[in-house]
Amino acid sequence: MVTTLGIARRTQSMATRTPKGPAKAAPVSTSTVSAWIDDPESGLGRVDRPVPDLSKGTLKYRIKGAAPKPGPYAPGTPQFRYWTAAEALRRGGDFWAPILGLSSWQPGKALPVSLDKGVDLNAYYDRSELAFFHEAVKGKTYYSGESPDVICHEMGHACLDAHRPQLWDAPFIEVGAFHESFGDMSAILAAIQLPQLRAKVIASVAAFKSNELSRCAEQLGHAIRLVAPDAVDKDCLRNAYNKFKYVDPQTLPDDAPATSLCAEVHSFSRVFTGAFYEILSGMLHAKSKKPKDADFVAVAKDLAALLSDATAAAPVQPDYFAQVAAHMIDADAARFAGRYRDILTEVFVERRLVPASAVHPLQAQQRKAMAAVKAVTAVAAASRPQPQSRKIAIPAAQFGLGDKTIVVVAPVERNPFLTAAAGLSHRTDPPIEDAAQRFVKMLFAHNRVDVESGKKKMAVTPETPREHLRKTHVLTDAADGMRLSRRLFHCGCALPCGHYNGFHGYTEET
Amino acid sequence: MGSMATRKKPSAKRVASRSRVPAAAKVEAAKRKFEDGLVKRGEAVPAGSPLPPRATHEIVGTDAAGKPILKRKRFSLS
Repeated sequence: MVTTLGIARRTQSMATRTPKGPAKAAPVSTSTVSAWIDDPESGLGRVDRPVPDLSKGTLKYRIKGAAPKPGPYAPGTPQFRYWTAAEALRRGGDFWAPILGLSSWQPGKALPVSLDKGVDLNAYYDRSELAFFHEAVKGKTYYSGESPDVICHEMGHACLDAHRPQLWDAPFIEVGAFHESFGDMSAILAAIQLPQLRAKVIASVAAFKSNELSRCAEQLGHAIRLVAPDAVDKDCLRNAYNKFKYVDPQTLPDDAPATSLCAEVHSFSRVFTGAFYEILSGMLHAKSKKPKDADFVAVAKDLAALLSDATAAAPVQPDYFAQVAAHMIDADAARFAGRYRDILTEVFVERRLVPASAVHPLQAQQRKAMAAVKAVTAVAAASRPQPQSRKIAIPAAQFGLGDKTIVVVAPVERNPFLTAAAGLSHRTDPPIEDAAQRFVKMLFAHNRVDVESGKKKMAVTPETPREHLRKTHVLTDAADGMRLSRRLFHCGCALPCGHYNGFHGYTEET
Repeated sequence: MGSMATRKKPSAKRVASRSRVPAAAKVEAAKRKFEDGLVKRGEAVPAGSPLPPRATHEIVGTDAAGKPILKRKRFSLS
């Protein structure tokens, strides 16, 4: 391994600098421990946290080796690494357990953890334990288990495995990539559980920017970059703030620098993680232009719940990203009555994870157009095109009404702001005649036209025959023929229920 | 008012229900792409020895067509 290149390290604060000499264990208090708020190289520094008890809580852990006495140790000591890892494990487990409905792991009641399994710039979960490593690069030793990002990524694998064990051996790129994405999403969601981090990044997340939260595993990414400069993102291992859009991984190369997508699962995971972070930002921004701390907590919990629901329901298929995305949209409808539908569909469609045809096809354009609509409302009101109408003449003979003409007045309205269809409508007139013909045929086929009374309004009493209430339209005499007009909306139910003259509306049975 | 009663009802049609079940050939092609990539990158290695760094799968045998049969052993960070 090359160790002599003089590559400048990122400036570290005193809090993050590795002290020289033997570790000094000097606990002042046994009620708190000192731990990194985020990754050691995030720049966010340390925080005092309650002593985590890994043998309690719904999800339990067992870190191999003796536990040091709790206390606020200095960074760089084994005791600090132990407690910063334990704190992250406890925090992550306490976040996910109620959301995923977990009470045990695949390996059993307590998840074994090896904080230093040997030499590597990596970490893993293998259904028997979480394993972390150390490696010296250019004179500095990096411990993967010292980063809460790395800890909560691996713990995320274990959580998803307990929640959805069918994903473990699924032989598809998108399933493996989603597992990796879930690890990064777990790191992000677990980090949000710390108020100190929320205070630092809330404005930046709402503004959809790269920040300490979106950057996963800055320190390990830094170490790997020293060895393999193009193997990881430029500012961390993987940044959730990215612009990657879905492409079929079948079409991607098996390997590529981090600047490009490839069919390797960590690389491809960034597509889903990027969408996730953009959705997180959109949900937060939707709460308020100046979201508060409680909004951040609530949005993270809601988004995690959508992931939980979606991963429980999505079938394990080659197009797993699309499956999870679509199930998140459906989960939002079921769980939150569509509260986040706009942002979910906008991001998933924009990033090509869900085809536009699967959701409301115009939703993204409508959302973007709304800002413009609001800005020009006053001006537009004066110049807004008036509703137009078109008369369509239909021979009445086909309905057994002799040599007459049925006249249908069809409203035509084009909105230049709200629909993408408006941009296409100049190419060809919409098939209004065809639609009107089909509609009138349907009315006659369902016996919905009153051809006898000639009166638009109908007096309704308890004695009015039920079939009269089902006549939604009426023919009246007019100069140009028989005018077809709507009389009422019918709810579609079998019984007359007072839904008369449109005061209780429902759609026609078309 | 943001009550459940007054909130606009989302589309009743489920988005997930609009996706199609992939054809068997597509599933097989996806499997092959995934497994070929693992082998090419050295992330799948013969069973029986400790996994090297970044390996995630073991080759536990071969199928009738001579293709390796892979079993996941772990997820790794990078």
